[in-house]
Amino acid sequence: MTRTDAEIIERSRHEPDAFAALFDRHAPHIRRYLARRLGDQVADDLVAETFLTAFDKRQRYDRARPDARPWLYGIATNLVGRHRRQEARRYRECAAENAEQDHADHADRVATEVTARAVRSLLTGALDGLSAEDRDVLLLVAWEQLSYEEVAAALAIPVGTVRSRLHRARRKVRDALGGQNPTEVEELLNNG
Amino acid sequence: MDELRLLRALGDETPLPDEASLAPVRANVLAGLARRRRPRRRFALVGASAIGLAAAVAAAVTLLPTSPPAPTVPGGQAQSPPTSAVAPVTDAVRLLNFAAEAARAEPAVNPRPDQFVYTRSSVDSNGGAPREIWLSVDGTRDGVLYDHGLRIPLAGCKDGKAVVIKGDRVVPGLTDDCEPHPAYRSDLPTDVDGMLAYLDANASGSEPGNVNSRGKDVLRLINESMVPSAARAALYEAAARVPGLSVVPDARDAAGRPGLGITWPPPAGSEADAEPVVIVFDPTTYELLGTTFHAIEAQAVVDQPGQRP
Repeated sequence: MTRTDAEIIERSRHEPDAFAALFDRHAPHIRRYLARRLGDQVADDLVAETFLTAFDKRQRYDRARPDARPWLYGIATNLVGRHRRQEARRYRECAAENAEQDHADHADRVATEVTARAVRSLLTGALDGLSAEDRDVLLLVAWEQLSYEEVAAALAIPVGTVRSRLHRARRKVRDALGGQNPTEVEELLNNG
Repeated sequence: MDELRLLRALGDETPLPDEASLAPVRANVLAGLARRRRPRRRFALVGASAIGLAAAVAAAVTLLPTSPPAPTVPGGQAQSPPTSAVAPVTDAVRLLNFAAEAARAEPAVNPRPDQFVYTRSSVDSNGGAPREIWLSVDGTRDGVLYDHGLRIPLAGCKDGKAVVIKGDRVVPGLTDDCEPHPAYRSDLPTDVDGMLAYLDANASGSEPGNVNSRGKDVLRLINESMVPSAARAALYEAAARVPGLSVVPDARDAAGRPGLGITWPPPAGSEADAEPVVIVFDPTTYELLGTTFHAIEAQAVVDQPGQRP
């Protein structure tokens, strides 16, 4: 019999070790989310911090929600917020590295890789240019595939705010991509 | 235009971690839970300064891939051509089956784990300068790449840790978590069904069954590692099942060597002048020569990085 996250959290009030089941269920996604935003090294530290913070806040978990993942994303996003400069640096370096590699591609795959690097550079540059609030919403939707309602729950903001932030973030990314042909670019990123 | 899907593709470059790589974090969390049973000892898990330092270091450091794209495919000796090759080969399935037959006939190479796969190649984008790479057979030893006049160390992955490399230098005292990427792919299936299952399970791209993605997956395997002859034969046979392939009769690899090419239609939405990738085989031995972008000139197993056969 599988317990819902809400049941696990309820049980962990008196049996802290029960909380490990929540880790096993969600840690891979939370770890990947943190690695995407902050890189591998910091991700490990912050995954642990996310789950221990969640444990400390478990009394306040809304037990009407069977799936705890949006809640965990919210906690992880808060922690990312404390590493904003680190995140900015990551995007900037990725952008610069890809731009540079675009010119001197010693990775030597197929030639399309070279253009894919240019696109990566534009994308990461665009992420760097977003406000933190807009970026949180955009990445929870684009990378973590949360619904608007889930993002709203994760970040404790109204759904309308999710929509407007997402709209603004998407427009800025679109502008940053400028003249690139999106279909071609997408093919490159997927397959290059 | 869908910038969300573009972003998603960027995000897809970070894989989901597996259980093993999460084990140390899990242990930390369990330890943290245990500490919390004693109410008066509620420490923060990690000191803020420790995170700050790790963060700063991680951000300052650029990692080279632990398994850089390596041109490969064993430079086997010339084989006698399959007898059925008298008539010009015009269909891709026959060409790939001949290539498979030739590969299967090659003597098996059994490198030791502590050896290195050496590959010299000629790269289209490289102005004719040779690229030479030494990759650890079992993925645990540090290799090296000579390219663009640079000598670039390549981190092996030993006990789950790899040295951190920035540009052409090893950063002292730092390691990163990793998984070893053996240059000799003894793990690959040697029959066509097994290989198809492997390709399905390791498919890149967002649409399953996308011909362009499959073509590049095959290419990536033969470009990046030394694939044992039986597995290479299975790979060519698996490639022969990809619909829509065509033969380029007068293909040339990046070094200008003529041969028989295999290509596939450019993906929908490509620019009209997008240059398709052509995989080029020797017209008589059916040995793989390389691609239009990347010619494999020599490959061998050697004992030390930097050692030429």
